[in-house]
Amino acid sequence: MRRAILAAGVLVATVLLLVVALYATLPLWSGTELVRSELQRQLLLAGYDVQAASVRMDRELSVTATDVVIRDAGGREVAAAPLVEVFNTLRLQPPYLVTTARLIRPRLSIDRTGEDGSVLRSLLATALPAPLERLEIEEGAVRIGDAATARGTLVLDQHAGALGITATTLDISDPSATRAAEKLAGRLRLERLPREAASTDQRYALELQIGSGSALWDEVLVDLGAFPVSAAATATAAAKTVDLDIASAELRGLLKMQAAFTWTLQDELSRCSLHLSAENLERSFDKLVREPFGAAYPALANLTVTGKSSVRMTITGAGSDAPAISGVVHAQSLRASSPAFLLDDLTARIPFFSRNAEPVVDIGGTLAAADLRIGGIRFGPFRIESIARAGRLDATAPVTLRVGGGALTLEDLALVEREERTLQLRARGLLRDVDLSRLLQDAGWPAVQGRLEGDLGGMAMDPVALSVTGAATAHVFGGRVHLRDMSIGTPFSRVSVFRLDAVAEDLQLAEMTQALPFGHIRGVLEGHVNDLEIAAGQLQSFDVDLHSVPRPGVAQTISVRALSKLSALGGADASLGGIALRLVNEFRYSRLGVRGSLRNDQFELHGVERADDGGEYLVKGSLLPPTVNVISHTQRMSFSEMLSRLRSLGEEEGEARDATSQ
Amino acid sequence: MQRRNSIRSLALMFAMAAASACVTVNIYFPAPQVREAAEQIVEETWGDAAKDASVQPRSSLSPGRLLAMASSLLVADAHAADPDVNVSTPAIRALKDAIKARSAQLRPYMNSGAVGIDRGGVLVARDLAGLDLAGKAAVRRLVEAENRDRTQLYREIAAANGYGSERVRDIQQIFAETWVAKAEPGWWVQDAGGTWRRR
Repeated sequence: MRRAILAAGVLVATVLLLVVALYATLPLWSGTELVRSELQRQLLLAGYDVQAASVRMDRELSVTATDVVIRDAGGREVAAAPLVEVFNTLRLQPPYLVTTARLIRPRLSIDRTGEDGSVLRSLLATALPAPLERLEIEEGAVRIGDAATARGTLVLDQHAGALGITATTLDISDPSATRAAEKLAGRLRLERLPREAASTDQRYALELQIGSGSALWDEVLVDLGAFPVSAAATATAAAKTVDLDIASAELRGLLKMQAAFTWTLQDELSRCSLHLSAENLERSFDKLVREPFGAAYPALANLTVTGKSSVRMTITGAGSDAPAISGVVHAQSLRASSPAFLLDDLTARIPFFSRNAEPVVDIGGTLAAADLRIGGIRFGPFRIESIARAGRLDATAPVTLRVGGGALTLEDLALVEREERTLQLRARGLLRDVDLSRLLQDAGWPAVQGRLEGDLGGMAMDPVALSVTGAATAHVFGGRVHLRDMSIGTPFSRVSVFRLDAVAEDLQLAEMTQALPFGHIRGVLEGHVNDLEIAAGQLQSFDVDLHSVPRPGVAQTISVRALSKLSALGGADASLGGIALRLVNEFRYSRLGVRGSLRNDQFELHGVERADDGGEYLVKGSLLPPTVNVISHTQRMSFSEMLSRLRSLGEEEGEARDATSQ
Repeated sequence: MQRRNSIRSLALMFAMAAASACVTVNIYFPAPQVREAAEQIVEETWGDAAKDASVQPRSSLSPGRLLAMASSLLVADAHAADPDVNVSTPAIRALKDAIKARSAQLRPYMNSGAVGIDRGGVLVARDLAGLDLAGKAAVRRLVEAENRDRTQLYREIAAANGYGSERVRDIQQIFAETWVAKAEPGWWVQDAGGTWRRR
């Protein structure tokens, strides 16, 4: 009996345990299945099939899903496991739909970015699966192929068809980490709009606010705390396109933008209309141009730009190698200045079309400024009327710039887009009646009386060079200096190189030496300086042959002071003794001149004739006394050393003048 | 028969004359001298001399030898072997000064591996993961400026020595090998096969 009671007790206990166990586990199993099927159902609604290696649920209804694979409707894998490492705080409510989910440290890897746009369109089409009201993603990470990674904490919530995404610490980066955003905090609201009648296209409204964090695009870094982002847009997702119409987008204090953007499945067909405007160009230029690019382009480092500017343009094929671009640039009260450059009060309305833009009727534009100064030289006010054609912008009439009391006239002025898509400024230049004295004074050089004029021929400027095919003639020192083959290499780089050839005719040495602190020489000088190069403000190379030529009625003499300068300069030897130098102020010469070249700081100096002792005559005395020979025994010397000697001579000259005046 | 011999003799003489009239022009690119100059420039701008703040910038380079480069490509060997030209022009000096001034800013990023030297002698922002955005922007700007100056330096060296643009690539390649060879321990460099390795 007792055994029977015991057996019955064990049986009852076993049954009870079984009942308890069944009671305890039944919800779990049913819950797990519910979750699995709900995930399946929700993702299937979005057009995806989800498979998980395991889905576990505990008593607190926390769910962990691992090794999740998502396939699109065509069976292609769009995301690889583990999609979700921890999936907890899941609340099930009757009728057992997932309404709130929290993902902690989820990892999503999308290896197929959906070249046909399916991923983006599906995401736009579904937003959050319908029953899910709130999704919290804590320390989530997403990798989209080799294109980008994002990690951070987001909350997605939807009410009445509007999806809100709130980010607190969102980091986004491309693989090279040079296009990235860090610690973004802000909110995106995405609202599904009612479909238009008889349309299958789905429409959305978007609002974006980002109030902190920073963003980097190559060299451009923007502190979004100082310049917050706000944007409002509508989007329409069709079968083959996504249209994004940005009503407004603003980097507050830097840039405003309006855009209509059509993204198609084939990038080359995409079309983008943009209207960018900067109300305070000074700040925009500083943050978006000078700071990022000043180190590589020193010309920008000291440039300040103020005023207002905007550009309205259409880009077709934005994703292709050669997008077609057309638009209009506006500028108002624009001023660009640096120690070496000034463009003042510029107003502009310039339409433009790239080479491959759709053919349009020629459209006129204007560009006018109150002042233009380059290197201290004033080119005065100017006004240009332009006509835009595909791939070029032509001035409708010659443009005249007032320079040095004369004029530089630019005929056939045009900005041309070349085949390799670089821009080149072209013109035919004509210089008339330029007062050299004013020009040189403006440039900060010693003034020389004279006049500059010439047919500069074809002029062309691009980032590689500014070149002139014609010539200019300076009428100076009673003669002429013809300037040819003028160019400036890499005009916008750290070191631009100015080049020219010069031919001198009939230069009166008396006038020349009067203008220079070099003593006094009389005679006529001719010759040439070829391949003259000036870089970083210093003479870099040249070939020189300048020599005196006898002219009837023109005396050929050299002063003692000039002799001593020559001697000190070239290490030359004034052959006359000290007493003779004291007795006579001027000596006669028969020939005078230098031949030589400068290469790599080595100045090779030759005179007009070889002396018996191996030296070279820089000055060969005349037959009649008083006469003098200056013979150089040094044919090679350091040019920088020679320049420093020149500077010392100048300083001595200054000190001597000061002493005399005292 | 005699006539035929005469013609043969004439033809032989003509051939000999033609052969002796042949002028051989040796195209000479003085790679060893370029390498020596490159080593000197790298040392001046990025080497110990550049690190030592007490060292005053020299007014002229005196690499000794880019020198034979000075002779143009179409010169006799005897002329090319005359090493008497210095690589010191105002443009080259200005570029070297800029590169040298920037080296102190770039050196920490080279040490950390954020920036490496690729096989073309160009600096590359190779691993910016440890930097904040301001650091990443600084690296991008420094690297861009440095590469522009280096490229212009090679062009100016070619121009200063009378070479056409077709030789710029040769000069760049020699400099590239020198930048890599002179890289300090711990710096990342790219080998000829394109593999990055730490020195």
